[in-house]
Amino acid sequence: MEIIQALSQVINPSTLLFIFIGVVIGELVGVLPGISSPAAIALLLPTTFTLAPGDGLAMLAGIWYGSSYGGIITSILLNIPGEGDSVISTLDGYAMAKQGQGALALGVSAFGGFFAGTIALILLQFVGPDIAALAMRFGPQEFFALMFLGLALVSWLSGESIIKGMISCGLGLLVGTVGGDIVSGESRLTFGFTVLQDGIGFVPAVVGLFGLGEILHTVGNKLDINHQMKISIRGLFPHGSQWAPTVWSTLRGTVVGFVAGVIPGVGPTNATFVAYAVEKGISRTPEQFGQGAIEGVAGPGAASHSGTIAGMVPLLALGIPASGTAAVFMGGFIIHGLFPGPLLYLQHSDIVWGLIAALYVGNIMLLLMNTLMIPVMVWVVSAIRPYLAPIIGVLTLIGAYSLSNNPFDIWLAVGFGILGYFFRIGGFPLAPMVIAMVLGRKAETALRQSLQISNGDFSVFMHRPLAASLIVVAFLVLLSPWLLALWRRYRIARSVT
Amino acid sequence: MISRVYRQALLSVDGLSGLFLTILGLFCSYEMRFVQQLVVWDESGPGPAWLPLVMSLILTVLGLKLAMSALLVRDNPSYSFSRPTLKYTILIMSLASLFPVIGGLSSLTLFVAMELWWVEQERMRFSIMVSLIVAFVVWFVFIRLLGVAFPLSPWGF
Repeated sequence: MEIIQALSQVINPSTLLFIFIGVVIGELVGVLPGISSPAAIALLLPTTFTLAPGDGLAMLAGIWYGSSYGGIITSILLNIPGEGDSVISTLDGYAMAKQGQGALALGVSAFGGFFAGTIALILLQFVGPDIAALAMRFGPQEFFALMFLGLALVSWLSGESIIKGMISCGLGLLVGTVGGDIVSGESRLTFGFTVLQDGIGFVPAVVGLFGLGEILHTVGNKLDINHQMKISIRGLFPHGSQWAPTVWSTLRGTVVGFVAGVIPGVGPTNATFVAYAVEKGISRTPEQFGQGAIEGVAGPGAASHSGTIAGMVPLLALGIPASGTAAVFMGGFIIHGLFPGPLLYLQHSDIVWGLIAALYVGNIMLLLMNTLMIPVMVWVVSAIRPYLAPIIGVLTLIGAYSLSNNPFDIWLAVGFGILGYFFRIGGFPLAPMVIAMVLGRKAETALRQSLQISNGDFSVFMHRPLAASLIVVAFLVLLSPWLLALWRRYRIARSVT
Repeated sequence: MISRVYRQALLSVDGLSGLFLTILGLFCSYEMRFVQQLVVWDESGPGPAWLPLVMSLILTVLGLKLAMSALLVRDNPSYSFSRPTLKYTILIMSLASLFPVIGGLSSLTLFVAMELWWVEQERMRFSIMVSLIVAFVVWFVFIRLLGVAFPLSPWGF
């Protein structure tokens, strides 16, 4: 079986070291509020260029996976979410910590996350190849329809305003067109600058948007930390009547997280909100939520981990990133000349199975770290936080420069950093822009191939049932604000008459 | 000419964003259609100008929608810039300018020292000490281990 062979190859000192480095960096990134997992992955993308593809991807996956737990630590102990998918853990997790049950909250999150991650990996193992095999029968029409729906969903579900989500997506698509056209070779939106002929570099743009943008937004904010706690191994486990609600909410969170994580635009962050809503909705004591209900920690914690792994399904099988972090992670493949999608399973199955095996190992490492090293993580928050701004600035510019040794990339990173800052204070989500930058050219190529087949006739999409259905759903998603507004007016008018 | 209320609304976050996007969309549309004059559509379907032109027009419409919605909503927040953010922006742009001139390592060291002293308000001696430590770590990890070719300073390092 491929996974057994992959595990035997992953268990060597070099690969284990890179997985460990990734998990440690991921936890630190998750714990530190000033830097997000896409920023950390983007900053380390160029360094993986010198590593073997398997080792580099294993390290980046460790960062992605480790950060989802690191954010939960500060959510529970300090009421400061380190990542988007740990925001919901502040509600009941911090309440539990104030009641002296912080260790229990952390233990439930750690063990629940390990369980959810393992189940999600098993599902990835079986579901991924089937979806990739199905996708081999897709033509350019289906691929365009899938990417169009993915972009529509991401615009709709990211952030508070669909208009701002669509703007972010549109900007990403526009940025993605800069440079030479793939089909005709003609320059687009280069304004005469030959340095833009190859397009806008993905790594400089992403390190600027996520790394510099975040630091510009948070620089000068002092983090006041004055919290101590002692952890005992026994305190990490539920006891007596706490077992049943913990186990059931972990199971539910695992399922919710996986289903939500697979859908582009939903991702682990929204999965945690859905899991919390489910737990509160079915609970016999909903008034306990927000006061330290263990289900409010276990369910979202499991959803966060399974949602993160689930994001690998559309990425590996279809080449469609389901979230901004997945889009940045996709850069790790592109740097090594690998392109996620159905052909990846066919031509580089060793890379895919090696990545899944690395995630299994990383999951175990994360469980050990999360049960033994929590006081170290909290200490790191207070020690490194004052120096984060200059360190991130240095890493951002090195990351932007080192890929092609071009000083222009530094200016690109600075420009996108300023754009990222304005995005944050303007309430524009970043994920649609990053995903659009990755998918835009592929979607355009698929569209033009489809229309070349039919000599410019758009009905070619209507002759393919799957493509037609996906495109109709995508248009409904994009038009939903106006359709909902019309529906509300209709309802008001009816109620008046 | 424009009342104070509308002026405030246009200078709000949504108003300024909408205006910027509208101008950007119109500019890119004009560039694609009239300056570069690339093919938008031919007998085989969309040409190279199709997607940039469509996206530019969509951004123009969305920008106008955002700006119009800002006019209809009272008490829109305004863009405000903290002093640390402005200082950091100045420093990072200076770093980008000096990077190829005085060398990669020198400019990064200077950036760290200035950031800690000017933005984080740390003591000068401490800022210099940390910047030298960071410089050593950058040299060891990126130049020595990973072989990144930073531009050299006029002094040879």
